Amino acid sequence: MKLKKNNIVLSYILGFVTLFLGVIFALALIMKFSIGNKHYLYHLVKDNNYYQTIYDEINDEMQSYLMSTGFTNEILNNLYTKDEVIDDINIFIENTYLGKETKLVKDNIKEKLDSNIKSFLQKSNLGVLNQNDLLLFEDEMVNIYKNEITLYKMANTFIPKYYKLNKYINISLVVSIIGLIMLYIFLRKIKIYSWGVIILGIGMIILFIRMAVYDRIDVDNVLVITENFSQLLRIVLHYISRLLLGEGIILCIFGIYSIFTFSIRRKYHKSIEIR
Amino acid sequence: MIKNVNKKKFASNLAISFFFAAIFVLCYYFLLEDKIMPYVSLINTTAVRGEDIEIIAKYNIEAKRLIDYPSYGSKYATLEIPSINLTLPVYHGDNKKILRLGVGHYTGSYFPGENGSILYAAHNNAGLFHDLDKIKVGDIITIKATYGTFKYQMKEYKIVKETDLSAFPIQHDKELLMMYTCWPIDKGIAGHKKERYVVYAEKIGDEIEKE
Amino acid sequence: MKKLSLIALFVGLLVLGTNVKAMTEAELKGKLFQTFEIGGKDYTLSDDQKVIVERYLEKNEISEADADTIWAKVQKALNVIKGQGNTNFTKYPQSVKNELKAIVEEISSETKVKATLTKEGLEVKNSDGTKVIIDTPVKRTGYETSKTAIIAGLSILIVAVGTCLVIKQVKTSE
Repeated sequence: MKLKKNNIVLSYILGFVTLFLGVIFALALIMKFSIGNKHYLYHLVKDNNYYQTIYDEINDEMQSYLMSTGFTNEILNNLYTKDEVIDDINIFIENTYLGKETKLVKDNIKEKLDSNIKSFLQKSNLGVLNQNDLLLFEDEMVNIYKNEITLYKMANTFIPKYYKLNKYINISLVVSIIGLIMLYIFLRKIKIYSWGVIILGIGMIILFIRMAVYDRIDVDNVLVITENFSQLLRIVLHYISRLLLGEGIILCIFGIYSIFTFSIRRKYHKSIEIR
Repeated sequence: MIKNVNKKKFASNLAISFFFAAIFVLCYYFLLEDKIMPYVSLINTTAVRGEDIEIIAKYNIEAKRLIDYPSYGSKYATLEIPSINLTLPVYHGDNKKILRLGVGHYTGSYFPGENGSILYAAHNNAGLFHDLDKIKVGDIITIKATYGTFKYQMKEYKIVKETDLSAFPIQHDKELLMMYTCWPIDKGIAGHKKERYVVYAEKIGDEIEKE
Repeated sequence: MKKLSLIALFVGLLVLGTNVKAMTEAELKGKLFQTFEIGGKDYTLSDDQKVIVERYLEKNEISEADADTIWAKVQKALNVIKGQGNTNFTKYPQSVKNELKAIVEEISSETKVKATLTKEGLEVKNSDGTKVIIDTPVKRTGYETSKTAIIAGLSILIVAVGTCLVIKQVKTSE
């Protein structure tokens, strides 16, 4: 059947739109499997020993603060447990994922600290300047704990944007899937090229995006807020880069193979007709 | 099977694919590049990590300024106060890690020999600035930097609130060494210290290292 | 009370993003160290910040370029801020934020400075690979929680242009 000229043009236009939607789908899928995935975030912190690092960091920071106060490390005994740190970090991740600010209430730490200080003061014959200063000190110590968990509230500016990003990822996935299904049905009848054309195109574009964006970023030297957080950030960026590379290569190979088999089939069918 | 491949079809399909990709790339460069590059620049701006580079300070005698400043976090001098039998390393910078090691030098103040205010801090623990309040007027303080030795004489001391920044004047026409620590120092009082004990000393001599 | 303001941002931009001929360095300092009036309040760099700026100018290579063009952009941004009568960036209308963001983006892609906000303060990487951490002059034995809260509010934009200097309000009566 002879294809009308309009159909040829439409075939190319729709092919490009399919390719565009395919790129959106491919990128959204990668994001969904990484930063858009709460379970990925939980695995990220667990597999990279983040909980232990933060637990140690809190202890270190508290000891630094103690240096000029006259108190000894004795007042830090049993202030908090590692399980508590794990739970609070998980709460932070959960809230971040939901776009909410995390406000930790750590009265238990303050009470325990107060009790440790009273025991210490009794034993050591030291006094305090006044009760207000003692409360200030206790608040500062609790803030150390809270700040290490919640990234010093510096993440608060990023959290709404992260939430928005997740929304866009989900919307993109849904829209692109629906669009691709509709275009598949329509394009199947009028296209004059192999589906491999579109798949190969998507693969090449994914590889291009990786090159145009990721390769220009100095990932290994990124430092924001804290070194511990930055290390996780670097791991995530490297992971996304590997996903982009893998996805791009697989799509390219599959696309070329599809074009190849498409070309063979047509020749084969023609040879059957001749017989 | 390979013999049955329609090479023209194969090539044309590949070409269509490249054509589609090329259009996308052009669209990216004309429409998205300007929008995406600020975010890439943003991320690269924060790429400050990397190996710490050690720089040894160099001093210009005529200009009375350092030519090369010591790296942040590096030890560049030794502080000696014979009257209280104190010798401490001095580091460029005064973050928490540095203050656990010795004397921290505030980055917003001048270096010894630059004819400006020098601001040093240390904790009031034993082995650090624990005996700072025992320095008397007239006592000599020596800073032995990698580029020269500088002598100061204590002029006065003050006990100020931690928020009183006027007690730490950063000026560039007179070399004034200010050393401070948390107050009270171990006077039977524990807790958050809201005051600072500040020693002020003026420069009385120097000996510059010749290269 | 110390505030981080956009003036500091753009002043810092000029310092760290501009390329000037060496002979105009004194002029540049003069421009940077002047007092800006916004909404009836005076803003200027504090003395310790001036030390940091001077040291940065000396330490980092500055090649030839059009300083006037960049200063014009800074002036444009300052006029926008003056029009708001305050330096509380987070409370500006969205259209004003977008206008400022556009100016910042014009300059930021040319800015070679590397700087980031960490829990210790602003960390700036010099062209020779060394770093400096800019924070407050008088150290407390504990946390500068008020500082981090203030910094957090402007962190994105500050990091985008690669610098931030704390500006104190200058009381003209003092």
